[in-house]
Amino acid sequence: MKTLSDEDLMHEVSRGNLDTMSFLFERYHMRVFNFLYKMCGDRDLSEDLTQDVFYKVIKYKDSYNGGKFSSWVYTIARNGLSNYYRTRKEDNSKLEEVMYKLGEEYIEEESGEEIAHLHRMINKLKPNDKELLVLNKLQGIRYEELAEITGNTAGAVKVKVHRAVKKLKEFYFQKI
Amino acid sequence: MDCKEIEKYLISYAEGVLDTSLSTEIEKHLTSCESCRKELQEIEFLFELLQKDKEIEPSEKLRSGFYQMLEREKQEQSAVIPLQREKSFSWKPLMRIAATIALIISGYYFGKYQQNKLGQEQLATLNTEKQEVEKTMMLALLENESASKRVQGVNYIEEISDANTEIIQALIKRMDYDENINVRLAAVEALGNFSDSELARKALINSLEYQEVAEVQIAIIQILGNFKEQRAIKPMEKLLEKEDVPPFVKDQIRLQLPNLA
Repeated sequence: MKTLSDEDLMHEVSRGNLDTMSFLFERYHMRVFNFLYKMCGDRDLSEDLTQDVFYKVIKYKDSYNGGKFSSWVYTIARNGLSNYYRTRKEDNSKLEEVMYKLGEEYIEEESGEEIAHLHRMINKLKPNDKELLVLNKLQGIRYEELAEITGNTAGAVKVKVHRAVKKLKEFYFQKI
Repeated sequence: MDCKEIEKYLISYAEGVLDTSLSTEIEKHLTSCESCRKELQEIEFLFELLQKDKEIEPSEKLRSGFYQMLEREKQEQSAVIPLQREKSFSWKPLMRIAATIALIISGYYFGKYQQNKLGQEQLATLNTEKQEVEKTMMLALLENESASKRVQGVNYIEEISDANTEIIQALIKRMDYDENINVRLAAVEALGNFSDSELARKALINSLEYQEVAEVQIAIIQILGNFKEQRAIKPMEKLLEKEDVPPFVKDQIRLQLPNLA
């Protein structure tokens, strides 16, 4: 099992062998959790949303189309997060305010003033820029896969990531 | 290249993705340009910092929560079997009988084939008989109480080469009336294989108006787009006007409409 590809494991799950799901959970829960945590900064929320991602993988196992599993998982995670924010927004709380407040919790856990400052500046980016930066520079997802996840071309993703890096650089060195 | 152009490549340079000729050109420029050097230093500093960011461990609650959820799902999956035995007529013995009949028939024809050495004709008959058995089994599965069995039944159809009206009607019934969305989706996809069946086409067009779940709507829209079915234009336009249709379904329609017009 350990040597099988993500896609082989997922096919096994699709066929009804749910136990195989535990291998995929062990491979991916850290990445999914960290992506969500770095986006929203709320530990409990991120754990709930991560669990929900794996629940959806099982629930929609029949619609898995054989594509790259990691892209699929990240797509589900992104949708989960934006759905959460959409419902929050309807509760009349401003998205930016929520994001800012939640970001503080994450910064406190970090060691080192430099990293804390970095995260404060990342939080100043627009949500889309922040997402690309987290996925590409913190999680190491390549442009081609990012393109698949966000429904863009690889070229467009690269341009956007570079723009986000420039913005972050501006923020970072302006304040220090 | 001047500073402005060099600057455009500095992030790619720091990412290490530039080809050698461009890299050398930039390095050459850097030795003589203080401001570009500073720019690059800042970028590299930022990249190093971003790499120092460490992954954070979620609490044990996440793992235990996952395994609890997995157990629940597994139980739900296996719970279908005892429930079936009590409540409904089980198709398992019937399937066994069908398989036995198939075996007897094939044995009969195989023996005959050996005797007469008239291979071709008998084999053809054998195939039709086998397909008949498959069809019967499949139609039986479609009426099963367990949703996953019904999906299985729908999926069998793709293996039957010459599906007849009876089968297409059974599929349409699943698409329009099945309570389980997975079964409806599988039925829609299976119907997508019958582009030359007028019955299948008409049913898909009609169904577009009644389906309420976005996934099913999208599947139908895509298939009708592939069929280049012009009669689908009107119902699709109707959907575009409806307020309760989610935007991503409308996007899918806008994507397919040019194929139809």
